[in-house]
Amino acid sequence: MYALYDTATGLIQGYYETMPPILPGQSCAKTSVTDDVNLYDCYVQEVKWDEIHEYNYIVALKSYKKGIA
Amino acid sequence: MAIGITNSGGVDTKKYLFRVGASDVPWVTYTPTGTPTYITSAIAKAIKSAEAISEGVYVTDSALDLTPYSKLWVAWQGFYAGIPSGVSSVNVSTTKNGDYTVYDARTLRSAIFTDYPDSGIGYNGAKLDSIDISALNGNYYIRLHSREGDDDAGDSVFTYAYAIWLEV
Repeated sequence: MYALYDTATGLIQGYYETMPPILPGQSCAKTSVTDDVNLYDCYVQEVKWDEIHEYNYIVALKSYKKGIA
Repeated sequence: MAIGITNSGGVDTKKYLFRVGASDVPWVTYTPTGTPTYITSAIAKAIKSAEAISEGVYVTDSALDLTPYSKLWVAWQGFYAGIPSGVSSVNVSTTKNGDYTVYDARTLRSAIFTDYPDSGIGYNGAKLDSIDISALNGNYYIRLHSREGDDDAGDSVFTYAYAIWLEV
């Protein structure tokens, strides 16, 4: 899956099966972990470059049930 | 009696839930999936999840009042073999027995993480992660999860936590 997130805040805006269009201010990275963005505010904590597969990969997240963070 | 530094309001400003050599509150195990291995030693709580989908959990036996606290910290490492769709997470939740997807607040890692040989924080190479829990009021369980998420033989996730604590 691909996660599209706000570059400045790290807030994930959506998960996609294929690479989505990326607008200014947004970033995209692969992830093996997804959540329901309607239920949770998910923030990207750390992204690494996968030298084997050659893509950015989200390795750490912090998430909160909506209304808590 | 909790061990920690107490302020004038009677709340420990730093309350350990477990640490090297001690478990300051009771913890129990819970297995959502498969047959993980639990290893509680003098220095850590560890869970190895391997060979088919499996997930192991250490959870506080009782819910803890998080109202006075603003942060939860964990000193931990994760060793991943293969590409196992692995997860190591610390979940704060009103639910005691849930898998890694059930939480109110969570810090999660999905690839090998370590500062080995030593990050200088005194836990032999552990990474430090924190969760902002300042908006959480009332009683919550704290859970440590280790999950191997696919069924490829030889893949494994080994989550190794040295300490978890709360700070005012």
